[in-house]
Order: sequence, then C-alpha cells, then structure tokens
Amino acid sequence: MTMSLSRKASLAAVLALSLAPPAAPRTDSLPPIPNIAGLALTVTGPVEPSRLGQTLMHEHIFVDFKFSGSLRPEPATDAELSLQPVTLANLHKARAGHWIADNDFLGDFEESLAEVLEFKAAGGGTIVDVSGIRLGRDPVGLFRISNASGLNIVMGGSWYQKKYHPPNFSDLTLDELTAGMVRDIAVGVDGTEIRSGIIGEIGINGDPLTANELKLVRASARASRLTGAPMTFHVGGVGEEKFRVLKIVADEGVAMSSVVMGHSNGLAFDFPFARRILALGVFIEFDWLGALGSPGGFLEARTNRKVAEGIARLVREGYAGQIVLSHDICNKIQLKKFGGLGYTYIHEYFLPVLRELGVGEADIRKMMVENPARALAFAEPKPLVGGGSPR
Amino acid sequence: MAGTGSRLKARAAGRLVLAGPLMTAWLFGAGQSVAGKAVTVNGPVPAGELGVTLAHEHLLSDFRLPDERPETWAASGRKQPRTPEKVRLYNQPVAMSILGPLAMGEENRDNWLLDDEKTAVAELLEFKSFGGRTLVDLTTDGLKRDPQALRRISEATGIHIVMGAGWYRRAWVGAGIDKLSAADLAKVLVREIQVGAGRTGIRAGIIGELSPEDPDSDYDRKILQAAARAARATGAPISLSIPLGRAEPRAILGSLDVLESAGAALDRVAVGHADQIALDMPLMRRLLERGVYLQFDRLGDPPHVLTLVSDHDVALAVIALLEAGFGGRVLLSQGVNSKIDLKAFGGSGYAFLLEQYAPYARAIKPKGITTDQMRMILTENPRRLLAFAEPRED
Repeated sequence: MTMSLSRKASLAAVLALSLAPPAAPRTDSLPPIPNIAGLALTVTGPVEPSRLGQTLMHEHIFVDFKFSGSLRPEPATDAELSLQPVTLANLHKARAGHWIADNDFLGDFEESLAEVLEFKAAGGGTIVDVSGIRLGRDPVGLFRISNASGLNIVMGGSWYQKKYHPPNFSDLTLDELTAGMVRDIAVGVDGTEIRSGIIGEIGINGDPLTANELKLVRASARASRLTGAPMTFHVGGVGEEKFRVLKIVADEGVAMSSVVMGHSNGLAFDFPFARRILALGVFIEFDWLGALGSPGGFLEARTNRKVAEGIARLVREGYAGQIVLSHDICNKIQLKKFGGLGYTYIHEYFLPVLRELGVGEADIRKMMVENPARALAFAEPKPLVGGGSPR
Repeated sequence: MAGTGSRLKARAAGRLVLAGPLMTAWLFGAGQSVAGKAVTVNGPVPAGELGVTLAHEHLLSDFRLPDERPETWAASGRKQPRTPEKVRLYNQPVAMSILGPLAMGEENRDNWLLDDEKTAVAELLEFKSFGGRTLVDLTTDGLKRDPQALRRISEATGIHIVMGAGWYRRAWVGAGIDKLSAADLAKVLVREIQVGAGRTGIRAGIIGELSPEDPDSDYDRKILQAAARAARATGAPISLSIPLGRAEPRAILGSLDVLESAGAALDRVAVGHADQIALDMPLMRRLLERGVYLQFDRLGDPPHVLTLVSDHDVALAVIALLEAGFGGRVLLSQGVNSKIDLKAFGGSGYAFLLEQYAPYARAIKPKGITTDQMRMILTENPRRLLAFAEPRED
C-alpha cells in the first residue's frame, strides 16, 4: 500500500479495532458456490466475457430511492415540489437540483426498455445495473429487459449508503452481511434464481469511514473472495480513505484487478492522486457522464469537458487499460423521455470528444469493451483468508 | 381571455394621446436630451430606478433561419442537419423527449422561435420574484421585434424593458438594407430612439444587438458607422455581440476601430458574447483597455462535453477581472433566445443569475464574487451603460 508511514502511525490507534478482522468467521451457513472463474455472470446466466461487447459499467435501469422519502426538504415550496411527478413544467427545478421524489424512481418497464434499446441500436452489448439491496433492485425486471432487448445485463448487489440502510443495520453482523451477498451471487436474489454478477455499488462514502462502512467493505470483500465475483464501489472513500478501503479488500484476499472504483470523475483533476490509485491495479470509473444539471444544478466546475480532457491525459500516460466509462443513470431526467441524454450520450457525444482529444480507437476499445470484460470476469472462489471455507 | 381586446384598445388609445407630445418634442425641441435617463418601452426613466438589470435578453424573437438554402445555413454559422435522424429532429416541435439533444446543440427550427407573449410574461415574473427590475431586449427588426408586445409585457409584469434597434447578421436581415447608406441607417436609428419604432411611438433605448462578423465588409461597416453616428447624436449606448463560434480578435478589435473612427465613445459600448473569450485574459484586457464593457451573456446552459467555456469558467474570469480593477466594466446576462432557455422547457430562464449564479459565484473558493460586487455588476454597471449621454453635435 502506498499510504505514508506517518499517516499510518497517526491513524493506527483509531484503526486498531475497526481494521482487525474478527477472529473466527462463520461460513457454515453458506450455500454451495459454483465456480464460474473466467466467466461473467449475467441475469440470464454465465457468459464468455468476450461476448459482452460495448459495456456500461454503472447504470440503474431500475432504481427506487424511496427510503430517502422521509427526508423531505424543509422549505414548504420544496417539500411540495418533492411530491410532484416529474413533468416538463418542473424539469427546470429538477435540473437545478431541487429534489423530486419521482425523479429518483425508475420503475416503468416499457419506458426503461425503450431507453436501453437506444444503447443497443448504438452498438451497445452490456449494461451493469448496480442497484443493490433496498435500492429497488429488480431481478425479474432485469431478466425481462435482457430477454426483450438482447442486451446482456449484469445485476449488482451489496448495500448502498447509510440513509438507505434499515434501522438495525448496526446490528447485522459481518457474517450475516457476507452470507446475504454470497447467496445473491451463488443462488439468486429475493427467492429467484436470477443471480448478481457484481458486488455493488457498495455504498461507501468514507468521509471519514464509519464502523458500518468498514463492516460493509469487509463483508463485500469476503463475498467477493468466496464467490469470485468482482466488486464495484460508490465513491469508496474520500481522499486517503480510499487506501484504507482497498487495504481491507486486499487483506481479505481479493485481487485489485477485480475492483472498480466508482464515481472517480475527481481523479481527472488530481493526477498525482490518480496515479497512486491506479498503481494499485484497480479500475477507475468515470460514471457521471451526460447528466444535464442535477443534483448539483446547472453549475459545476468539473464539467464533462474537463473530465474528458483528464481522461485523455491519463490515456496518454498509459492508463487506458484501467479506465471504464458509464452514465450512472439513476434519475428520470437522465432519460431521453424526460429531457435527458439517455444511454447513448457516451457513444454520441463523449467518445467523439475523446477522439478529438487524441484518444485512439484501440484505447477507446479498451475502455468500452476490453476493460469491462476483464473487470466482470469472475475469479476462482476461495476460502476466506482468516479461515473457513465455502462448502 | 375576455376583456383582452378592450384593454388593448384602451392602451392603443393611450399611446395615441402620448404620441402627440412626443412628436412635438421631436419636431420642435429636436434632440431633447434624455441624458442621465434610460429609455424604456414606456418612455425615459431615471437610471437610478433600473435596479437589477439583464443586459442582453430576448423576450419575443425569431432566430429561425429565414430560409433553408445552403448559403443561408453557411452564412448563419449553424450546422445544417444532414442525416435523416437529424433532419427529423430539426423539423419537430420542441418537446420534452428532445430536450437532451437540443441541450447538446442539435439544430431544431421551432426552438429558435419565442412567440408566446403569455409565456414571456410568466418567465419574466420569475425574474421579478427573485428581485429583478429591468431587462434589455436586444431583438432587432429582422428578428421580429414587437415593440407593442414588449410594452404590454412591461405593463403586465412591472419590469422595465429597454428595447434594442439595429440590424443583426446578414443571414437574417437579407438584402433589405443593401441600398441604404450609413447615413440612411443612422437616420432610422435616431428616429427609433427619439420618436419610436415605426408608428408605435415606442422608443429604442439601446443600439443592438449588432453582430459584426467582418468589419471590412460593406454590411457590417455600414451598420457600425450608422450605430456610431446615432449613438453620438442621441447619447444612446451600443451593444455588440461577438458572433458565436467566430470569436476573431481581429474582427472584434476592428469593429471597435470602425465605431471609434465614426465618432462613438467606446465607453458607451458593450461587447457581448464575451463568454467565448473568457479564457483569453490578454484579449479581454485589450478590449477593456479600449474602454468598453465586457458582457458575459451566455449564462445558464447546463454544461456537457461540448462546453468549451463553462459558466464556472466565466465566474473565474469575472473574479480575475475584479481583481485587475475592471469590475466596473463587467456585465452579466443569460441571453435567452430559444425555447430551451426558458423554464417552461427545462431551461434556467431569466432568473438564473439571481436564483442560481449569484449564490454559486459567491461560494467559489478561495475567493468568490461578493454580494457587493454582484450588485455592482448587475445594477450599477448596466445603469451606467443604459443612462443616455448628452447628445454630441457634429
């Protein structure tokens, strides 16, 4: 790890408890775990990664952030707005960053199908849906989307950030969290036989890391170790906290090449830091592409243009093999139907600009095809580092 | 809308009564001075009353190409849609499902038409609700300027509206003014400023927007010379726009040369669409050192991968200009000129500066645009620009 010694020393006391793995992991409640090493796991079953094609690594075809519904905004006019359906009349407010609950809800099958078909028509092959537990994850919906569209769909797992946790999340043990994720991957989600193919988005903000976040990182890493499934993080820690997160993952015996660090647009603005993260061997994901306003509003310093310039520079430095791209569609207003740019912005607008900025076709193919294929391929299932083995 | 007709008649009658004294003033007190006042569609008002002012907007305008000939497209600087999908997109009415591509700059004919007075009133009331007071509408004749509608909108909203006069680019104006000389055009401008547009009695309060592409061309040179003469004779300000996508330093500086040599005082000139040059500090300084206002008036579009200069970049430029002592020469506006700019179509509308930009710019680290500085930019600077100077006799 590249964390400095002094930094380590200063954190040592704080971390002693939280970083120490529990002595005796219990895995006796785990189901049999199939070995699909080398394959990607879609909602219709394992596939050769070479068949995935152009892949969006971080989307939400179906999502429901309804658990944040209790957090109604205080100003009365905003609270009233939050209850309205998204319409042309209030689109400007949603784009300006005002919260509309309906905007956080993607659940219309036909609507979603129409949107992803545009990606298919643009040459797309695979979408990774990273909606996890309590985030409206919809195994049957995704299974049907896959069959109806002909797209490969990889379904996510794990837990999202704190406000989407149940009140008893602190009481859930590391083993319980681990077992739940393993079941989603080995057996199927919510009583179906439709299986998660990636662990995430793992809802780590890490600003700084909390006890529950540390527990969630470790449980997700153990589920990855036990099943061979790849991991994908939401933020995954702010600043130096990313190294703490990745150290836990490494300590649990997961290869860094199975880890995607999501929401990494900031790395396009801090190259020394980006190089330190990339040196670990993880994938970094630029995944807030093509959103017209919201939640930050119409104004942002880190525009997609500047992200593209940063990516072009990282590619020039030789990092094309570790970069993946996505839109992170999670709001209605990102869909074409609701005034957004949908699942084709990267193809229609972003990649052409990358080409203008000097990125070659071979590197674009890495980011859109080869890297996702490597990232989504399962590793061998292995026993936990601390003992215990899947049966 | 029962009653609209009779109200309109009553207003028309009121204007006839008004037109009498105005005409008298023009005929017998030729060039009666309105120095120190701004000229709105409801007549001169003390400049101190203007308050927060948007220096470059359009309430009702028609920026659609007058025809679809390839020459017209080429002259417009817009990208003609070629593929079947883009042609289909171009020809359909603006609707929610195409707002994404339109935000990316895809061409759509309907998008370029602002023709709904009721919408204009509703959108302008948003500006008012956030503390706005005055709007400069720089729609000129070839863009379907409608003085009476502007007066009605002003009356319905209580917002001062300053109306522009002049000629936009040749792709829109056409050959209509080719036979007129600079002196002829100057006469038209003087009349619109002192008497009123056509037979409306509604006076222009600013010359512009003028959008010179090439000050060496007959078309642009003539218009600039006319503007300079009319500004000199009336004391009116001038508003230029750097043509979008064609920010040639030589053309911008050349246009100022023509204005100056034809007698305009450059400290009465705003150079708009300066957003395009916000990353070019040396050029901005060169312009400011000529005495003009720099007007950043393309604010409020959501940024994306084709955005070369973002609103954030403009804020940084303004902060740098404030630091360099040019704060008194900076103007900000949104330049609403298409449907997607309106809140009714998902845009940020006329209130963007007050509603979103000022709070955002204030919070920029380490040093944002303070409330006092923003007040200077949104109130004092436009007031100084819009207050007529003393007419100067040749």
